[in-house]
Amino acid sequence: MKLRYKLLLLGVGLTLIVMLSAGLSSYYIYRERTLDELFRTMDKSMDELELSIREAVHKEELFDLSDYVKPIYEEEPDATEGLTGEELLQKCRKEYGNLYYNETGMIGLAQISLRLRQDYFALSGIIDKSVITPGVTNSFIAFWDEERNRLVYLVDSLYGLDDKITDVTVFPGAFYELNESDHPIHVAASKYDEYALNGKYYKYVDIGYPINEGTEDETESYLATIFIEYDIGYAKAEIQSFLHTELIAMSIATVVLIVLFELLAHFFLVKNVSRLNKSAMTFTEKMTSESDLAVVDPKIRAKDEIGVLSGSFLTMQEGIISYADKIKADAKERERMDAELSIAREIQLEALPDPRYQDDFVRLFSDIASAKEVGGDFYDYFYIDEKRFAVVIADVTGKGIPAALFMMRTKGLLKTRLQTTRDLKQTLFDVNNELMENNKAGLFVTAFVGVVDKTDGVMQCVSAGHERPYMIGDGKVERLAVRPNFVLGGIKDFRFSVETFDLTDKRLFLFTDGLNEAINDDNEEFGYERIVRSLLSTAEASSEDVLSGMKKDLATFTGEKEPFDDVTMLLLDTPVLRFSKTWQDPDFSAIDEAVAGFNGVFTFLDERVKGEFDVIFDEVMNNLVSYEKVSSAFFITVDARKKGDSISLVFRSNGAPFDPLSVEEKHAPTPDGPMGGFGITIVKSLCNRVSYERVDEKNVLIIEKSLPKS
Amino acid sequence: MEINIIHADVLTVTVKGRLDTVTSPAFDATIAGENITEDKVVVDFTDVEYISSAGLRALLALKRRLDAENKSLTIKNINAVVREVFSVTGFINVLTIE
Repeated sequence: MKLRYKLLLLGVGLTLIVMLSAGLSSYYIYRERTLDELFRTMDKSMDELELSIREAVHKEELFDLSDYVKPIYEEEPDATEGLTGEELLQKCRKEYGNLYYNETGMIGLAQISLRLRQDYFALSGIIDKSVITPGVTNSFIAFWDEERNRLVYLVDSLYGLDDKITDVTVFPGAFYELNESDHPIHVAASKYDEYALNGKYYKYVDIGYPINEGTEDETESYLATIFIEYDIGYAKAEIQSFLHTELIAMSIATVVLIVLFELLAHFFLVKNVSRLNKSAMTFTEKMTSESDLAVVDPKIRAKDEIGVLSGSFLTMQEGIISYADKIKADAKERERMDAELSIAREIQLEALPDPRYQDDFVRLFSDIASAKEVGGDFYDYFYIDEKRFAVVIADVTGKGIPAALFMMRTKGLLKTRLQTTRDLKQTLFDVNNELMENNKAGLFVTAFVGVVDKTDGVMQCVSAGHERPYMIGDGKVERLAVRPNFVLGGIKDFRFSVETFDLTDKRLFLFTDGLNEAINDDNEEFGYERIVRSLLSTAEASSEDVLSGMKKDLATFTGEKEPFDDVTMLLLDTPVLRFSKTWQDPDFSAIDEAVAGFNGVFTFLDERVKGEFDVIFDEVMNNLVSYEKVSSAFFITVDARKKGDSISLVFRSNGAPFDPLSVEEKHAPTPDGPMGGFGITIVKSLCNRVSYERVDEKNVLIIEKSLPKS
Repeated sequence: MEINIIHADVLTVTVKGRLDTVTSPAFDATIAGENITEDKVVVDFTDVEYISSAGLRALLALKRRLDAENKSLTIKNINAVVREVFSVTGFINVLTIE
């Protein structure tokens, strides 16, 4: 309900209560006064009446009348038994009328004595006089038949208010049967006692006659009672008219008061509350719109609670404005931070080399799936020199900018140090100490650093607290048995142990703990077992498929779950150097092609070794072309590959079966005779092992030559 | 392969490159077409990278021809690979190597 209506209701209520109580009290006061006035008048006339009647009694008028009436009444007291009220009066009037009056009314009185008649008229005259008094409507004298509880009339007024003889006059001897309840009449009643009978009000006073007058025992015996009937309606009418006037006045006053109350309430309360409300709404609108916030003053000058509230409201607005400004500034700041973070993330990712790399020696695939935040994972790869290829995978503790900065620092240090010192042990020692310096945040890095020598496929590596990689080869997957060292940035002057593994015919799967610790919706970790299972499933697949298979398996496992850590993985494939070629129907030019091709692959061989291989190619292929070739269907296949410290050459040819090793070696030229036959001698001397086999209708010559230690 | 022949008191043959299956026939042909008047022939192997049995055969042919004419053959400035081939084939004992 609106405040306005509430106040109106309150005003109406209050005014009604005030008006009602004022009206009622004034009504009662007025009524008392009016009745008092009436009774005073009546008492006065009663006094006069009593005095007159007492005088009459003394003259024995009433006594006489009583003396006359009583015996007649006593003669037949029960003639009217069973009748009540008006019936009785009618009957009495008829019977006693007959007794006293003739048919025409007054004549009957002639039957009684003159004196008695005079008495009666004298008394009725006295009574009639009392009726003149305002408010008094009737008077009569009656005696009380105690035994039968009756009021027996002696004298009733003869004249009505219009000074005419009324036909309701009750004749002497007529009586009125009283109920038990109307029984206050008793001997020696006070003249101011009141009595209600038949809905009419009476004052009455007993009259007696003196006994033993003039003696000590002087007293009065009961004779009769004077009743004065008064009309309360007279007073009532006056009071009623007063009430009318009063009601009208009160109603007008009530309406005026309510309107006044309403106006005042509006002026002092509702108006200010509305203003307050309006300014609050305006302020809120401004707040929700984009416009600049400013204080909206409700302009309430009142010093009351609403004024105070208005003041508080202004203070609140100022508070809100400054708070909103702060929030805006914070939001801007956060926006800026977010932008910077994403730029940082970009820079970080850009700092990483291409996810895939391939040259004659290395095939490398990597993938970094970063969690939402800027992470600390990174990988790196580069050549230290012509022969050695370095690969790094690392995970900085923590997340966000500190981790990212630390990552960049670590990455840079590892690369430059490794390229400068060309020594893995020294590099890790230096980088660890450098990371220890100015590292108040206490960040550290787990890292795996491997350096693969492409001449022999051997990897030197250090695991600085990092997850050990998996080696994949020959359809098997095994954890690289590298000794764990302490993390980078952990302990000053830590000496990292460098270990050596042969990666020949092996692939290396490197990863960060984001992979094995990735969880699914059931909070299960991906774990090492799943990694191994995935690697086994792709053991024979291409290097690229190994990585994509792992990514797929991880995605299937984690489902919709957002990764909470970076997941970085890298597959390093350093295949054995290999040169393979087939010549159909070759001539000697195939030898040059073979030598050129071989030298193009095994570039790291020094000139002497290269020369020795050249000779081997020359001898073997010369023999094949010279002696085995009989048709254009002839072919030679050369397959050269590095195996550890040696290089093996396999020559396959489809000539007639011929084992060159069966030919006797020739160790000295003869002055005459055949000049050839030195080929196999030279080949044997230049390699470490030669073997021949006949496989699938082909001659297979296998030559192995160890490489000198550099 | 390049072959350079200088006639003087001594016939100097300078070989550049490889002396193998492919190149030896050219060596053979060049030497065979040469009228050797000098008593001494020197083959300079400074720029010979390596030699295979085909090359040995060419050298042996030259050696036999000079032997028949009572002329001497000297090989000079051989590298390690050539020396290895010479030694394993016994040429090192037959040829005069400086």
